[in-house]
Amino acid sequence: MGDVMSKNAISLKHVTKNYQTNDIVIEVIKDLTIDFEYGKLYAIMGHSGVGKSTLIRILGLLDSVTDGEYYLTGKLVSNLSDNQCSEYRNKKIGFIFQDYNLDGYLKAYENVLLPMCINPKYKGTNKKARAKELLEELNLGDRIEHFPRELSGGEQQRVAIARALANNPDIILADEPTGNLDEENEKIIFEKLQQECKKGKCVIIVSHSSEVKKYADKVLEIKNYQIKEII
Amino acid sequence: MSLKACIIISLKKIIRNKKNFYNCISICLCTVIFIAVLLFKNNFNRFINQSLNTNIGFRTLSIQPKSAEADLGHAKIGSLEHIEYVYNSLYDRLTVLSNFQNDTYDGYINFNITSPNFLNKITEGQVLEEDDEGVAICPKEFYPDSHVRNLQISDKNIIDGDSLIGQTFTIDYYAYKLEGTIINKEKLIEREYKIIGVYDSTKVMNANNDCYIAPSDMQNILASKLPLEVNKDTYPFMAIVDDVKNVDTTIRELKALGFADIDYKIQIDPQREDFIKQILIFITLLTILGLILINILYVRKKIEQDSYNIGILRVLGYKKSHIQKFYFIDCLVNLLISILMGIILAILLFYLSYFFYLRKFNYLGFDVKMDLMSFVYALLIILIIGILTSIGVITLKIKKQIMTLIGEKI
Ligand SMILES: Nc1ncnc2c1ncn2[C@@H]1O[C@H](COP(=O)(O)OP(=O)(O)O)[C@@H](O)[C@H]1O
Ligand SMILES: [Mg+2]
Repeated sequence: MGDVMSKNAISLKHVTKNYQTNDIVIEVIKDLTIDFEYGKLYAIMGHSGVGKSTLIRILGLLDSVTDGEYYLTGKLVSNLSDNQCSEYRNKKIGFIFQDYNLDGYLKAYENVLLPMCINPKYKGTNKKARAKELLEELNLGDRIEHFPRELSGGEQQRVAIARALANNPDIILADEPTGNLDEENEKIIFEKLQQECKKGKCVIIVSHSSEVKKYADKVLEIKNYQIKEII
Repeated sequence: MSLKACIIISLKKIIRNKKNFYNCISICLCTVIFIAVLLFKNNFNRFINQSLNTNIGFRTLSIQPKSAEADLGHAKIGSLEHIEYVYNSLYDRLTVLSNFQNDTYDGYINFNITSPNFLNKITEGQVLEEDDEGVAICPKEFYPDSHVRNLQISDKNIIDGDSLIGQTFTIDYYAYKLEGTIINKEKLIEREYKIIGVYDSTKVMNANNDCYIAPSDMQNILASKLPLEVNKDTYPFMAIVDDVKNVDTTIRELKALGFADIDYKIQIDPQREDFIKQILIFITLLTILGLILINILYVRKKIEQDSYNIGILRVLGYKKSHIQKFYFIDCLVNLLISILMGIILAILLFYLSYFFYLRKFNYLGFDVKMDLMSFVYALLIILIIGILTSIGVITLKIKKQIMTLIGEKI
């Protein structure tokens, strides 16, 4: 199995996810087996409520699977401790959310610093310089010292992307990253994610926008507990 | 996470978050209260100690006369080893109106008598003889006004006693006469006094209008002021003991001689002292309780309001322990800043109240002081309470799962 894993950033084997509220068990993901490769950009589409966010949370180690196995960069991660999951999230995964989720009391570059602060790789290096560099790549060179409230939605989302890229993760997960943005910003963001994908990262984007198809190597659709490739 | 980066980010967030302001102010006020309580306690104790050692009243006993003896026991009391001087308490003290009375002073001064031995020790210039007449010894910083009791003294109006030596002043009072069973005003008597010496009232914690005259002089004034024959014998004796240390022994000796009713001329009322101590304890406990409550509510609210940001940090890979450390440092920095502010405020308030009031205790020979330990204790108490409550709330609150923290937004 090991050789198959090597080109797969992510591998799900018979994964099931149930939510339990009181006595009711909601089955959201049922026996899902799928691989995501390095260097590819995946677009995940589907109606509201089909479990796209649930899938992203599982992939991002924010939520556990009810059953099945999850391999991340070749290692079984479906039964790791909270601390081990944190370490994977920090080093291997970059997150982008619909609501940007920046810390309002921190300036743009300080938000980008956050993941680097706990990564031993950057200990003793000039983290601020790297944060600046990342922001400059996203055309935010003149916004480094700004607070989130002083930035437009598109600019905030670009700061969030810089933050997601700060630790140079292997995998980038984005849940409706352009849901609140105009077409122009959407374009900048998809282009940047595509560029990262070309560097060998595995990029997974959940989106309602059909624009995403232009950038995706594979477009997947979730329907009736099934995930299907539509292009 | 490196401690340095953590502190830097904490500091930035604290300064930028206006909500911290109210917490800072509350903790700052608690610090001021703690320091005030501790300073009061220390100065209070020091004041009592100093009074015990310097105020002659604490070693003056009031003894009921023994009617069985011809001299009512005067000679027996005086014969005791440690008793320096005995006199009838009727002559202890008299408040008179003097011609110092003007727009500045109300003119009331106190005439006292005391042991010649004691007086010799504190007097500069000529001393009083037992049967002197018309001479007085006044304080070096003389202030002929009854308000000195409440320390209502204005510096610029203090009379330099040295300059008064050799000068005279007059007092006047009414003489009374017993007519049948009724006491009637007879006439206004005026007497002249020459100041022959001065003494340092601060060394014995006397008021600045306390003068000494000769015992026989006092008897003369009172003889004309009151028809004494009626009740002179019922007044207790005042006996001055040579040292506070010897007061207890002397009381025992007096009891052995058959004097039953013995009291101190001045005594610290233990009930009042207890009451003050209880009030201090009450304020302290209330402040501690307030501090705990304020801190718990603050840290809880902060973490709750921040729960989304905490969720984000968790998503970015921060462990629970990271976040706990983060919030702990945040609370600690907040505490330290508040305490520092409190200390500065306390010092400012002290100097202000010193300037406007507390320095007046110097007229009683007592300097109200700040002491380092009060500040150290206040700092430690608040820091320890703050740290403990913060740790408690933080460990309880940061247990939550990521999805509960960020809700359904991801
Ligand atoms: N924490 C939860 N507890 C219970 N049910 C949940 C929870 N999160 C999601 N669900 C349910 O799981 C289903 C899939 O939700 P989600 O993954 O958010 O869908 P999508 O992102 O595709 O719109 C929905 O029916 C939703 O109500
Ligand atoms: Mg969703």
